[in-house]
Amino acid sequence: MQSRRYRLLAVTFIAPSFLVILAVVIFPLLYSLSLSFMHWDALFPGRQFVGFRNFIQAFQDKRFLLSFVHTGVLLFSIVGLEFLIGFIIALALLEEFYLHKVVTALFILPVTVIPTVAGFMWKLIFDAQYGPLNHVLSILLQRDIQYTWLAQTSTAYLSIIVTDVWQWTPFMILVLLAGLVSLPRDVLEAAEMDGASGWQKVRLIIIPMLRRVATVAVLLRSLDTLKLFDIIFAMTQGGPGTSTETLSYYIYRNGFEYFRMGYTASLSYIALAIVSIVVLLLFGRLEE
Amino acid sequence: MKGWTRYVILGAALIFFLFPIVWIILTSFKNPGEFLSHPPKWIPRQPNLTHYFAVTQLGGYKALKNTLIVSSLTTLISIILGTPCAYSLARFRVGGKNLAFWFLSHRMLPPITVAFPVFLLFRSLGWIDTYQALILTHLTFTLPYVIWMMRSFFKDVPIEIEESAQIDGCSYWQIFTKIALPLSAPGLVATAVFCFIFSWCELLFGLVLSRTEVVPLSVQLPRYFGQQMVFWGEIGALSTLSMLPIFALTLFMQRFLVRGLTLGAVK
Amino acid sequence: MFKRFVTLILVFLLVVLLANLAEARSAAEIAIEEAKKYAGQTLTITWESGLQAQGIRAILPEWEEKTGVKINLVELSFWDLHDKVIMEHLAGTGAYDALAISYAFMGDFVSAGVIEPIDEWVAKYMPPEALEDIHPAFKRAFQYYGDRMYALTADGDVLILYYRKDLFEDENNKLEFQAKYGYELSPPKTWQEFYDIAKFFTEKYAPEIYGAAIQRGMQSYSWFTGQFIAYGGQFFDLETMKPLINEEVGIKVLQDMLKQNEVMPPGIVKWGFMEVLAAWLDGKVAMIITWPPVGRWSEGYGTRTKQLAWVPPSKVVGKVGYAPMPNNRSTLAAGFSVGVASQSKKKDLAYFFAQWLTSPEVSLQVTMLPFTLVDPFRLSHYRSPMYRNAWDNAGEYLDTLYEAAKGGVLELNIPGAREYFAALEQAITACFAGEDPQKALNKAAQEWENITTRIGRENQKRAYQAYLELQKSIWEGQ
Repeated sequence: MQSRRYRLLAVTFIAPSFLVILAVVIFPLLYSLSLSFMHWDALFPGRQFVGFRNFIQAFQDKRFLLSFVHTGVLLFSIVGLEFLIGFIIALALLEEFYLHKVVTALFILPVTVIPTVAGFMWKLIFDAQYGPLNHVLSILLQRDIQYTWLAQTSTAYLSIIVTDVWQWTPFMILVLLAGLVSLPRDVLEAAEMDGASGWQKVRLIIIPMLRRVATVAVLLRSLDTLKLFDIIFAMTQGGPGTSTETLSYYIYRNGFEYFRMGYTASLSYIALAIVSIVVLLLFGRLEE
Repeated sequence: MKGWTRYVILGAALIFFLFPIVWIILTSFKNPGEFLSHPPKWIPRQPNLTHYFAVTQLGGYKALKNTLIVSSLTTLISIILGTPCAYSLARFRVGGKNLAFWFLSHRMLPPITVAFPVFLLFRSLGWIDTYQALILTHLTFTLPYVIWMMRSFFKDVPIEIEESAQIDGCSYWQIFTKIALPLSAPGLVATAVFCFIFSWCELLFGLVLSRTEVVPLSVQLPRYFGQQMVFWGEIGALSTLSMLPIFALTLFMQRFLVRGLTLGAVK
Repeated sequence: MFKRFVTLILVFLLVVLLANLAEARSAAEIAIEEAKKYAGQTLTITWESGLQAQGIRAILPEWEEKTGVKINLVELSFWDLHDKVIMEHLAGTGAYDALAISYAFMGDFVSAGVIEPIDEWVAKYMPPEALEDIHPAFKRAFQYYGDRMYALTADGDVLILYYRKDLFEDENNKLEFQAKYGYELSPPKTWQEFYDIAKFFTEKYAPEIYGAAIQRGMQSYSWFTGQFIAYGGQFFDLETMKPLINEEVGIKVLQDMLKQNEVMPPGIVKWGFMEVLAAWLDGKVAMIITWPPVGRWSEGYGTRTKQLAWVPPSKVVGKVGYAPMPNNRSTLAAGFSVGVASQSKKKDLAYFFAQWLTSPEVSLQVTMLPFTLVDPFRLSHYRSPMYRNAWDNAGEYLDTLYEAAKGGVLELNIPGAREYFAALEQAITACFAGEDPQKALNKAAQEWENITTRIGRENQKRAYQAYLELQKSIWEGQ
C-alpha cells in the first residue's frame, strides 16, 4: 500500500519533465529523421524520398568534413590554452592576499557575458582602424599599424581563440582554484620542508592530485566548444572564405540561409550521432 | 607562487579580462566621432547617454523586456518541473543512474541538432515568434540542468533527517516540501540563477524562432551591425544594459559558482 | 544627347499632364483614396534596418494621418530581408504584408511563392504615366521576373565613381601623370586606368591621401560583378550551365582586385561602407566607387540633421566629380523595390502602400531627405529642379546616376542567387586572405555547380537565359 503510493509519487514527480523533453527534443528529432531521407529544398515545391543520398552526400561534402577539422582545431587550442592560463592564474590566486575576494570576483565577470556580446566586444578591439589593439601596437612599434585581424585565416583563428579564452578561462580558474584549495595542506608543507622547488611541487604533487577536477573542467569545456556557434556568428561568419566555419555554423547555414531542409536534417543527425558517442564515452566519468 | 611574479600575472590577467568590458562600456558613452576615429579615442570627451535613448527606438528595451520574460519564466518552469523530478531521482531512485544521465545528456546536445526539427514542429503549430516557443526550447537545456544539480543537492541532505521525519508520520510530500526543499534552498537559488543566466545568453534558438515580437537581446544586438553602418554606440549601450543585472546576480551567487558551472562535479 | 532626351520627356509629360489635369488623380492620391477604406488596420512591412529605415520612418506619419492605416515597420538586416522572409513564408504565419525586395532575391521569392504578382493591381490603379516615369533600367530589372510584375521600384541603387576634382585638375598632377603613364589624367574609363591613377596618387600622397578605396569587407561580389561583366565575362555556359567564373576573365578580375588592394589604404580588406565614407569625407582618398548617398553627403547636404550626426563633417565640399564605373559598367548593386507577400491577409492594402510609397510625389520627397539611403530612380527625380539645385553640381550628379544606370550591370537574379553570391564572396575573401585566385574560384565554381544541380539544371538554364535577356534589354535602353 505504502509502496504503491511511493511509486506513484515517484513517477508523478518525474513525468512532467520527462514529457517536456520528449515533446521538445525527442519528438522533433523523430520527425526530422524522416526528413533526412528526403530531397526537400524549401525554395522549390515538392519533396522526394531519396534513401541515404543525403547522408552519402554529406560524407562527400568537403565543407562539412572541413567544418569538423575547424571545430577540432579550435577545440584543442581553446581548451588547451584555457587550461594552461587558468591553471597559472589559479596558482597565483591560491594564497590569500589583500583584496583577494574582490579580485576573484572580478575574474568571474566574462563567464556571464552574452557570447554574442563577447564576440562584438572583441570584434571592436580587433578592428583594423577603430580598434584599441592596433593602436597599442602602433604605439609600441612606433609606426601606424592597421592590421586586419579577421581578414586573414590564421589571425581570424587567433581572434576567435582569444575571445573564447577570454570568456571561459575564468571558468577554469574557478574550478581549478576550488580543486587547489581542497588539496591537503600538510602534503604541500611536507614537500616544502623537504626542499622541493616550486616547479617540483606543481609537477609531482599538485598535478597528480588535481587530476579529477582538471578532467571535469576539460571535459565540460570540450563539450561546449564542440557546439561553438555564437562567437563565430558574431565575429567571422565563417570567413575569410569558409575557413572558420564550425560544425554548428555550417549546419545553421544549410538550414537557415540556404534552406536545404532534407540535407540539413541529415547533417544534424550525423552531428548528433558523433556528439552522442563522445558524450557517452566521456561523460560517465563526471560523477565518479 | 610567490612575490612579484604573482602580482604581475594577476595584474596582466585582470587587464586582459576586464579591458573588453570597460571598452564596450566606454564606447556606449562616446560620440560617433570618437569611436569612429583612427586612432581610437580612449576616453569619451563629453560622455552622454544618446545611445541609451537611441536603443529605445531601435527595439533595445523591447529586447531587454523579452529576455527578462523568457529567462524568468524559463527559470520558474524549470525549477517547478525539475525539482520534484530531481528529488524523485535522488531519493526514490527511479530509473537508477541511467535515467538521471539520460536527462543530463540533453544539456550536452549541440542545440543546432534540435533547432532545425524544432523549427519545423513549431512552424506547423504556428508558434514561431511566440514566448512559448522560446521558453520550451530553453527548457531543453535548463531543465536537465536543474534535474542534475538538484539531484546532487538533495543527495547532500542527510538521509537520517528524512527517515526520522518519516517515523514521525510525515508523508513523502511533506518530507519533500518541509524538509528536503528548505534544507537545499541555497542550492536551489543558485541553480535558479544559473538557469537564468543560461537562458539570458542563449542565441541559436532565439535566432531561429523569434521574428519581431519576442526578439531577445542576443538576437537584437547583431541587428545593429548594418550593411552600411555599424551602430557601435548602440551595441555598446545595449551590451552594457545586458551585462549589469547578470553581474549583480553573479557576485551575489559567488559561493555556488564552481559547483554550478561544473554540474556539481566539483564542490 | 541626354539633355535633349530630358527635354523631350519633359514636353511629353507636360502634355500628358495638362491633358489629364482635369480629372486625373496621381498614383499617390489613388492609393490614399483606396487605403482609406482600411482605416484602423495595421500593415506590417519589412525594411532594411538602420539608415534605410530612418528614411521611410520619416514619411510614415503622413501616410498614417491620411489613411488611418497604421504601419508596423519590421527592420531586418540586408540578408535577413531574404532569409527571414523566406523562413516566415515557410512558417506560414502571414506576418508580413509588404516586403522590401532586392531584385537579386526575385528568383528565390518567385520560386518559393513568397511574393504575389501585382500586374492586375497595376492595371487597375496605377496611372500609366507614373509607371513610365521610372528609369528604364529599374523598370525592368527591379519590377519584373519573367513576364510578370512583382514589385514597384523604391530605391535606384547604382554604384558610381566619385573622384576629387581638385586632385585630378591639378596642373602638376596632370603633367606628372602624363609623363609617367603616357595618357591624360582624367576619370578612369577602364579598370587599368583606374589602377594606374590609384597607384599614381598613392605613390605621390600616401599616407595623407590614397589613390582609391572600395569596400572590400562586405558584398565584394557587387564590384567583382561589375568588372567581370565589363571584361565580357559570362557566369555560366548557357548550353550546359557549367560555371565559367573560374576561367580566364574571373581570374583576371580577382587578380586585378588584389592588385588594386595594394594601392588602397591599409586594412582595406575589412572596410565596409562606413570606412570608405569616413575616409572619403575626410579627404583621405582620391577615388571611391560606392552607392549614391555618398554623393549627397560629400556636399554636406543635410549632414547636420540628427540622423546623420555620425557622419563626419565633409572636407570635400565642392571638390567632387562623378563618373560611371570603368567601361561604363556600373553595378546595379542591391537596390530595393516593394512587393506584396503572398501569405498576407491584406494584399490590396499592401499594394496601395507600395503604390503610395513609390509614387512620383512621395518618392521625390523620400529621395531628397538628407539622411535617406533612397536614391533617385524616376525620370522626374533626375530632372527635379529642386534636386538639381540642391548643391552646385547636383545636376551633374543626377545625370551621372541616370547614365550609369543605363549602362548598368545586373547582379544575378536567378533562383539561389543568395547562395551563388555567398560562394563567390567566400572565394573573394579567401583570396584576400592569401588563397590563390584560380584555386579559390575553382572551389566557388564547384559550389555553383552543386547549387545548380540541386536546384535543377533546366530550371536554372531558363532563369539564366532570362537574366541575360534582361541585361541586354537594359543596355539597349528598352
